[in-house]
Amino acid sequence: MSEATWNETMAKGSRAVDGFDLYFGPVHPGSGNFGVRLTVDGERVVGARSDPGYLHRGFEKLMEYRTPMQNAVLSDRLCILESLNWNLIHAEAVDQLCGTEIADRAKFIRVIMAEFSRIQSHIIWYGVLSKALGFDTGFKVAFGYRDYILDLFEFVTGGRVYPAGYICPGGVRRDFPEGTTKRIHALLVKLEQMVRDFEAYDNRTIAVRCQGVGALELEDALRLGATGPVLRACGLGADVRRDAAYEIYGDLDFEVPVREEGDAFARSIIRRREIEESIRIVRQAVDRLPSEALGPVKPRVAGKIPEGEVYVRNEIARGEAAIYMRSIGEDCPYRCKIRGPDLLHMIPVLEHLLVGAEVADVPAIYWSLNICPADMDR
Amino acid sequence: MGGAESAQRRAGLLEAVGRRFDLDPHVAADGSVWITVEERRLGDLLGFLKSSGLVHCSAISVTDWPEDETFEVTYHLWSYEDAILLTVKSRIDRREATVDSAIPLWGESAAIHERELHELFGVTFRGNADLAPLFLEGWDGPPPFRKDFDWRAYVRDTFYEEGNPHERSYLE
Amino acid sequence: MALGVIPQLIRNLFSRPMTVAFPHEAIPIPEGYRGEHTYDVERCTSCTLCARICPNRAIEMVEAPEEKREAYPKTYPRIDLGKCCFCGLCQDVCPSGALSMTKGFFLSTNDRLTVFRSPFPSDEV
Repeated sequence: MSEATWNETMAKGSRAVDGFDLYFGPVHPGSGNFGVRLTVDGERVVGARSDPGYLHRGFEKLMEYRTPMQNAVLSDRLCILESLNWNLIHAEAVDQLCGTEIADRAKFIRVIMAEFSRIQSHIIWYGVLSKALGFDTGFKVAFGYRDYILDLFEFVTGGRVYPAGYICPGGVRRDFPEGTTKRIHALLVKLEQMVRDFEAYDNRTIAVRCQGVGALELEDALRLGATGPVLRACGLGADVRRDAAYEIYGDLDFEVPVREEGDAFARSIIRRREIEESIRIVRQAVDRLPSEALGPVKPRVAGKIPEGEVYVRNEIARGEAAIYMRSIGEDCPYRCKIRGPDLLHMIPVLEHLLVGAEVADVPAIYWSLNICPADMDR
Repeated sequence: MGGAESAQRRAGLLEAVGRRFDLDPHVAADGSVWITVEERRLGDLLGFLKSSGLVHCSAISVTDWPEDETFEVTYHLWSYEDAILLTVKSRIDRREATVDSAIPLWGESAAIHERELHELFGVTFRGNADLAPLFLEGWDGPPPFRKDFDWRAYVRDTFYEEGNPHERSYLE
Repeated sequence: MALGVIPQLIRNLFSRPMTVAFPHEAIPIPEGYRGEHTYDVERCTSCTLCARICPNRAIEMVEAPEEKREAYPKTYPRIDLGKCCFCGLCQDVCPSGALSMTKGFFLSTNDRLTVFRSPFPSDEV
């Protein structure tokens, strides 16, 4: 990119008057593959400009050239940190377009796997937030427990991190292998121990570094487009699983944690409570799992998607995800717009919160938003 | 919010839209509402919907219809209060490709979507001062998500090499 | 004052390390793991479904080498593991069970040409 274009891109929207340019990311271990250009005056950030695009793969265009089963495999990679949640929303969009009835057992399996993916995503968030704050114990404990969930994913889907479109249009690619429910019960016991460990090991670090930091007012949150835990920390208890229930969430009993303060600590508490709520959801779903056997979904090389359009919203770990899929009766979708929560969190919300913060608080704010460059850039 | 109460509020909103704009919204099987409006009245309709409780702009998207020489701009809106999901669709001319920005209504949450659509589809949003490049760096070709952009030719010419056995099947 | 990590630290003094002395020991891999492919040319019907379902176009249908062409006159799948994402769609779509995935994951190599898995393995790429 030419110098002039770079300057134009970076200067627009920056609230900085004068200051020292500090680039936070993208190769910084504390920022993932995403950068923020901070303009600092001493210890205070006076301007922030996000620099996205390092992970832009053109998903929306890629999906126009692939059939639904191939897109299901691709949908893992929308955000690998919560791959099964993205599999689920893509599968729902195609199922609604095709008018497919999903077997009850498949719906329960989908919800179980999606909730484990949510727990696993929150564990990653906790680990990386701890690492960014220098609290190494939290990082090690978190990733240690995450491995047990990955072992379950390997047992059920065939891959630890990439489930290869396990939740696909038509149901799930294959039924739970024998012994899965026993493994899930053992895993839930371990995860409950993990929740107790999170409480026991950290009594100061996250509280001191995150309280009062990065506070977001409710009306700003609504205008900036925040969703998920970021919005729930500001006092509005909006959760797509509750407001527009999909799959079997309408029949399950769970709470949506809400806080009033809107700061990084409130978001942290909400996510930790959400892990507990997800464990509760999985327990209910496993206890009520229908027992009729499920055949594997046989992939079809060709098969027209009926004409129509659909906009599906789901609650993924990071917030509200949505897919707008338009089909004109061909094998591949005509347009597949993917709305991830992080486009809003990483650009408007992050820039708003960073201005006025201190440089030492930047990692706490950054990671309390639980951002994922993958579903921002697509 | 219960299903029946939500359906009632939705019916109330649709009736208000029908009275004021003489439009015929379509309610899909899952309860979502789809309204098609011509560009001339798009701004008025969006303003009315925002003031009726649809405070969350979930997404703004553009679909390319090259045979019709139009772009279809879609606004996906959600009301937290009434649990209504509503999509407004409007066709704009493909050559001109300009439409009023939704920033006065939804602020930065609309602005960032418009910035992305400007870069990838080439649609200009009047009133959005920040349409700087977002994802692509050093890109001076046509907007890449348009249907007439031959991405296979671009990838083949820019990245693939004749002698590489891994790329043989793509170059044939 | 909360005890924090101290109870766990004391427990750790008396528990065995979790380290698995790989490669002398290994954690068992579950059935259904999506690893390296195995291909049985005798069961293959050359339907080309695997090549068409592959999301990355990693499977190319190639002819048999000269000396085998009489016995095997059609085209057979050659898999480029460099492009393969190990999704298992080819395994699921194969109607005759000729192509399936094993638990093999020792696939790293320094030579880019060895990532091809030819349908007639003793031959050149």
